[in-house]
Amino acid sequence: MLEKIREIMVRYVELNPDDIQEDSRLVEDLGLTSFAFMSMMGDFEEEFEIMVDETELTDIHTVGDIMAYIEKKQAE
Amino acid sequence: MKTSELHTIQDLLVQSAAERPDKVYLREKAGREIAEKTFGKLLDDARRISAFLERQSEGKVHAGLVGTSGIAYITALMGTVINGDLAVPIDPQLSNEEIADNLNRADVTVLFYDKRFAAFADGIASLCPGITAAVCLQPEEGRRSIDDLIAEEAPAELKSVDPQSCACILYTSGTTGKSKGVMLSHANLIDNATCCDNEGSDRDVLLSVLPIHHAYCLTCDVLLSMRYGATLCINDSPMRLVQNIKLFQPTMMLFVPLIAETIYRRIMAEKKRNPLIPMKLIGRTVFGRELRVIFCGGAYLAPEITEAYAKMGIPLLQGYGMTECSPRITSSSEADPSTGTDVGRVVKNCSVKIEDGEILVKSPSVMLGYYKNEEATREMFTSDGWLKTGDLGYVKDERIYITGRRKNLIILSNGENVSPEELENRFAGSEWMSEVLVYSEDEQITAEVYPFPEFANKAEALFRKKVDEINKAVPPQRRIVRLRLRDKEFEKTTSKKVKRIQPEKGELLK
Repeated sequence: MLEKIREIMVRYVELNPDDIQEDSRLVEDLGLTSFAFMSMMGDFEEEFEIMVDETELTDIHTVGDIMAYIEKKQAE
Repeated sequence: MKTSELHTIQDLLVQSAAERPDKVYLREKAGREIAEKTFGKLLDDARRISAFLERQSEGKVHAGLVGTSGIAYITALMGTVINGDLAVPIDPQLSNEEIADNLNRADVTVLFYDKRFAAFADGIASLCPGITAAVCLQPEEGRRSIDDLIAEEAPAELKSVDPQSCACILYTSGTTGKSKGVMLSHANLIDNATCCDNEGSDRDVLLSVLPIHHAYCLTCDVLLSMRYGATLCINDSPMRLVQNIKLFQPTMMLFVPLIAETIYRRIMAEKKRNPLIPMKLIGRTVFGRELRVIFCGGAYLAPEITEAYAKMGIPLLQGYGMTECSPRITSSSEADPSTGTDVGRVVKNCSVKIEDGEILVKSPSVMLGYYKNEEATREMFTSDGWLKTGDLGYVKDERIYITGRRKNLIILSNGENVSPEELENRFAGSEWMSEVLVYSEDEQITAEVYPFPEFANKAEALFRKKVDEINKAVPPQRRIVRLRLRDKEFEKTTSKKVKRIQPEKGELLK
């Protein structure tokens, strides 16, 4: 899953896929803006065929949090 | 529509409904369907909401709106303003305490809320004792909803509305910390919605992506599309902008630089993977077949972004303004585009002059003042009535060029203004810290701290902890991203204030 997430994330941040780690913080380490974060979540929604609920995103701070969220949504 | 006959928002809605009663004005996604509302139905529904508000108070009702843009939101807003009541759209990303504070400071007595704020509305009696009625924007079991009002009320008789009366209070970040309520009259908003010509027609479809509590969205998405008889589609979430462009096939959109930059980056990533695809084809894939133009304002836009959009065949036209000016001061059009370095031409009825490098404005779009804040209002104007924008710039060939900011506001690329003092004040009570300065560095909010020397060893950990605490309390776009720690006091002015621009910076914490 991390590979797929990296592939989508590099559309929004000027980094190499390898720079994106599970413990990377979205804002502080990757420099993601709030709008880019939302757009990216829209891409994950399509890619992983999940329904993202905007109100649930406040606790997502790292790449690992995104992975956990996607897994949770896929299980639902 | 004869713009000379428009004086109030009531005139605007009544005329558009008379000219095109059955034309679809609003469209939005509703599950798998698309919900629509015509100009005629909007006027009828708005009059029913006016009737409800009329019964709430003998005087002018101040109605707060907490939620994101949508058909119900715009209906409630129109119902409030067309009969002379006052709308207070609030930023839904604020904390509940800040929302309550904004509602209280604007003397709101009726609340329209998105169902997401149901728990907030349930606790409203203790947070906002002045609020006597709350109406949910969506139908919800056990709650009074806007649909109930529309079903129960008969359309109100339309009263004459004074064009100089206040139609809206919009909050904007102040330089001294607390946000200020900008009072915009009907005349202000109508002037600004009619200050340019030939921007659109009734064949246009707009996709509204900006937050509706911003003047730019209110005037240029909502009122402008109404003026031209165009259709306004609502982007239900920033997550789905690209999907919604495909769905609604807009001809025009209003962006802030943040949105233009994000899409630009995404496109360039695609281009890197497939260098042979022509930019025009990428443009058509992302923006659809119909898109003619994007207007962009609210913050600095880098010229390379404008160039990249031009390569995709999409003019990205810049304008400049501020909430206090309803908001447009300059604009550009397809026939007279901004060049990438300027922000367009001064709009009709607006006068601009430069004093000590600062851009000053006089126009019928200039606000009535800040609500219940005479001192702040006075400070915004020169003795002969020119509004001080706080922006530095110059005028050449009737075009405005911005060179910097006089006032100490951080303008983020989404057009949001952040007051450094407001963030600095949040450090108050940190016994380990002597001084703090918040500023923007590489477009990132940066906090720099000088700790008391006796705390030097523990300062970094305490600093990080404090920033985490602050970041949890503020909306995502106002979070502190960069931290700098210094071992020397900040340089001061002669009046012993910390200089906003420091010759040396502290160490960057990774």
